[in-house]
Amino acid sequence: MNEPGGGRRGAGAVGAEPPDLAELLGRVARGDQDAFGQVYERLSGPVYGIALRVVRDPAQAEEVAQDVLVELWRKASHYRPDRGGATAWALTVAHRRAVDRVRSSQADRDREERAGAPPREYDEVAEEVGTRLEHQQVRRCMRGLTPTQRESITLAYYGGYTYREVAELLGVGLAAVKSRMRDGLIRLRDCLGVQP
Amino acid sequence: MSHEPHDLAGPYALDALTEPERRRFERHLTGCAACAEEAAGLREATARLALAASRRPPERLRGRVLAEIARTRQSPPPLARRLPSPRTRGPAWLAAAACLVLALTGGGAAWHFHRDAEHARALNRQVAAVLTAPDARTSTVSGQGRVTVVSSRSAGKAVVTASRLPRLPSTRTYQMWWLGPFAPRSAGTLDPGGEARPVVTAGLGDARRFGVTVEPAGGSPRPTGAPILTLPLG
Ligand SMILES: [Zn+2]
Repeated sequence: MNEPGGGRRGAGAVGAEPPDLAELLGRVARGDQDAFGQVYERLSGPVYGIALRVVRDPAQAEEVAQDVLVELWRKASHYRPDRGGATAWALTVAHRRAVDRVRSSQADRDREERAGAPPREYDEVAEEVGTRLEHQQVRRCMRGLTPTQRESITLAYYGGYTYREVAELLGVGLAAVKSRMRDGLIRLRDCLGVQP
Repeated sequence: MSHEPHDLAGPYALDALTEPERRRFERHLTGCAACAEEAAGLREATARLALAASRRPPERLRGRVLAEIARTRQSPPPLARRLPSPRTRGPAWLAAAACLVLALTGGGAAWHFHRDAEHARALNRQVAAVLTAPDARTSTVSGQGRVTVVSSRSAGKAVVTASRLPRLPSTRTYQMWWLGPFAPRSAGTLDPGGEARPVVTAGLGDARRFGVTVEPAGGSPRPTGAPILTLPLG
């Protein structure tokens, strides 16, 4: 992009992309433990938060978060800046690990309920200002989706369901679910000011 | 390359594919720039869903993680895989261009580029030249409809596809414009009827944005109303 001052990062992202996370990951890839300490400061909140949101059980979420953070240390050299933002890369590792955990566990009967439930007393638990602003912005943009888009995205991302399971749960076809997810995410991306 | 999964970027970005599906789609991404770019953009959106769920972990986690990394060996960087190059001029190049067109048109049934025999006949050379330019950039906007622009500064052209734009009375037409620090320059009219056919439009020049307006049939020398949508150009 030749936009003045425009990079891949959304300018409106509060606390979404500290300017040098990619650079920190580069140092981590070369074995720099101090740099990893800074990565921990930046990412332990979102990594633990998404793990907790998906697996729900705090003890399991802590295990998942530990696994993910160690994986970021191990695989820092796998991050490719030309493929996207560092935060997105790291949180993909985190989310995928959390989803693997719930899919491999047998106790997934109540995932639908968990995914559908609103985050409990969010404004009280999100103690950091940046997090609270981020949450408000995401919630506002989620409200801009159609109810079926929002439902599909919530079940998949926070509930850990596959799109086939989401289709089954909602009693709609696979094509409809795929396009709800895609169209909803495009709308979310545009609302959040994230550059494609 | 029949049944290529061009429509899985949404489920992929949400980690809503099974493991075999995910691996298959990731192989697809290495050869389909349009899906790769879309998936990367959607990943930025899902990352925000994770950021919004941020919670402070228990204090003890830090000590555990730092102790574990101190005794954990790091993995070496993976070897880079390359996208098919336009210079290859072989079937891989054609396949990649066909992928782009399919993805741009939403994988609609209107375009059957799957079979190799049809590639050469059906694929407009101009479309292919833009789609496979080394500096090709994709922009998409969806609202009332969905418009995708793949632009190449080096070619000075863009490929535009539109789908699901509202139908207009026969006295009106959609018109495309190059926008920038100059008076809007017409990029031609856009026929939204029927199939989502890509159109090639020249005159990109130093335009910064691409816009669409509704004009009297036949088009206007300059826009008569505000754009119904605009897109940034790479
Ligand atoms: Zn594709």
